[in-house]
Amino acid sequence: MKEEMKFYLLAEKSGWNLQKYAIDYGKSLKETENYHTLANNINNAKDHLSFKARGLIESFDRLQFYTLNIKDCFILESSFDYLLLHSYPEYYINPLAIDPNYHGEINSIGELIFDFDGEDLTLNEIILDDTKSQEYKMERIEPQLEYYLSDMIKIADASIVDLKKQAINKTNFMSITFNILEILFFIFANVFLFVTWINPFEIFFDHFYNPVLTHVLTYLAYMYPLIIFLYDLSFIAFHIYRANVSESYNYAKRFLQKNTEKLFEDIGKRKEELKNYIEGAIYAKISLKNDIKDFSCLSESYVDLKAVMDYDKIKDRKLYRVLNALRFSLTTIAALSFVIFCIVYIIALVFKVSI
Amino acid sequence: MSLSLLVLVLIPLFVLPAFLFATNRIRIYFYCSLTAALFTGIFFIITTFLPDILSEEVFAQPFMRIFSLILNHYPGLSTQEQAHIVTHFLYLIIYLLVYFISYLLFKIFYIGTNPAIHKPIKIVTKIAYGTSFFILTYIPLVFFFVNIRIIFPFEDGFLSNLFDLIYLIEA
Repeated sequence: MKEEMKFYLLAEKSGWNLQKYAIDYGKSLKETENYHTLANNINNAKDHLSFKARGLIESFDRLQFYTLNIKDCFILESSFDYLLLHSYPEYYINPLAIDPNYHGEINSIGELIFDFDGEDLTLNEIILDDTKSQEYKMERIEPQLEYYLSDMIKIADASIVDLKKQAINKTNFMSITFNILEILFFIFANVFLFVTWINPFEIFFDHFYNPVLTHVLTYLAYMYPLIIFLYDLSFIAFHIYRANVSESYNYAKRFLQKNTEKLFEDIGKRKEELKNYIEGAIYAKISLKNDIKDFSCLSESYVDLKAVMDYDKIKDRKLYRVLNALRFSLTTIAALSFVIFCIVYIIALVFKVSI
Repeated sequence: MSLSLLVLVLIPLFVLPAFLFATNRIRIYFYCSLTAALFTGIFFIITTFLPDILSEEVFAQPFMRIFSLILNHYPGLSTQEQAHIVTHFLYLIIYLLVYFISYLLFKIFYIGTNPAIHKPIKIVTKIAYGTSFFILTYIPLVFFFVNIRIIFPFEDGFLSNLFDLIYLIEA
């Protein structure tokens, strides 16, 4: 804390009103280089699944920059400095939960920060430290490894809970019902069009080949196939887009539903492999390089648990909303034209009249 | 409107899903269409090239009454032509049934491959699956339309020579 801030804190305790200074302090902090660095780091942290990364993001969102007194400024400054220090990836990356497609500044597990006797040291520094025995080092590292394991288990649990919530969600049930009805309508509308073509109803084909502009059947004979074609295109376009953006989620869902036990077993195995790997490096006194992704539980049978937890955000995407709106509009138009066409066609067929 | 134009207009409805769907999804559709095409293909090969085992007339005979609703409107059709049309409707039903059953089975049991693992070969396999899916769905549909074109109200159009090659009943 700056010296003048300490003075202001003392002055405030003595009864001075320093609200203007406090308000200016909060605003000016947002314009500093450190704030931009922190904001950038927090943005990078959003790509990581670990609960430490998520905790950082939540802490950043909770920072109160609107300070009304020096005490708030002091709290803000302390929180800000702590977050700034711990917002770098070496503090929050969990090697068990790292994205297998990660391409960031951390290349090795050796660069991760461990709390070693109250001091923040990288794993490589701990490995190369000659002042402590290997057993002592492993004892100090073990809690962090247990944290990585529990963090990964929490992520997997949260994804499974999210999947179960989505399965029993009422809105989801309604949307599944709507989807089934829509598919049935899609099939029925196209089959009905086909049936009108193979049914040798002369009055209808007369209107098709010799259009009479004053008859409804003429308009329906041309417009209904066109509307159904446009509806088919919008239906296909929407489902293609949705399938593409939710492919990670769908794969994760199917994988988790059938392999939950295997997932947790794999997580436990990975943690033991990581422990043995670090132990080997400590005993051999070899610093670690280029291995940050080697122990990701998400790598070989990678399950995008983030996609599971963020599935609802897919519906907020602009293109999703546009295609969905287009699909709804064309479904409504197709349904209306189907009903009108059905009625007119059946009346014309039954009564042998040209409408 | 002609059958040739209809056949061309349907192309985007099959090309778009074939090459734009997600990899796991198009893979399921490909396997379903492959199973359906194989089942239907077996019947087609037997009725076309091995009529001694099972001819179109024998294959279609049990179902003629059901399709009489359609065929009664075309009194000028010979028995062979009627059997041909009914047979192709049956092929369509078999194809759709097998496709639907396969789809249900794949939906329940198939997990797929991890879409987040980037492999260069994935683009090649996606094109292969897409092309195969297109061939196994679009071609059978065109085949079906051409073989029932007698009861279709449209003229053949500019692809009539091709349709004559596909339609195996002599005029």
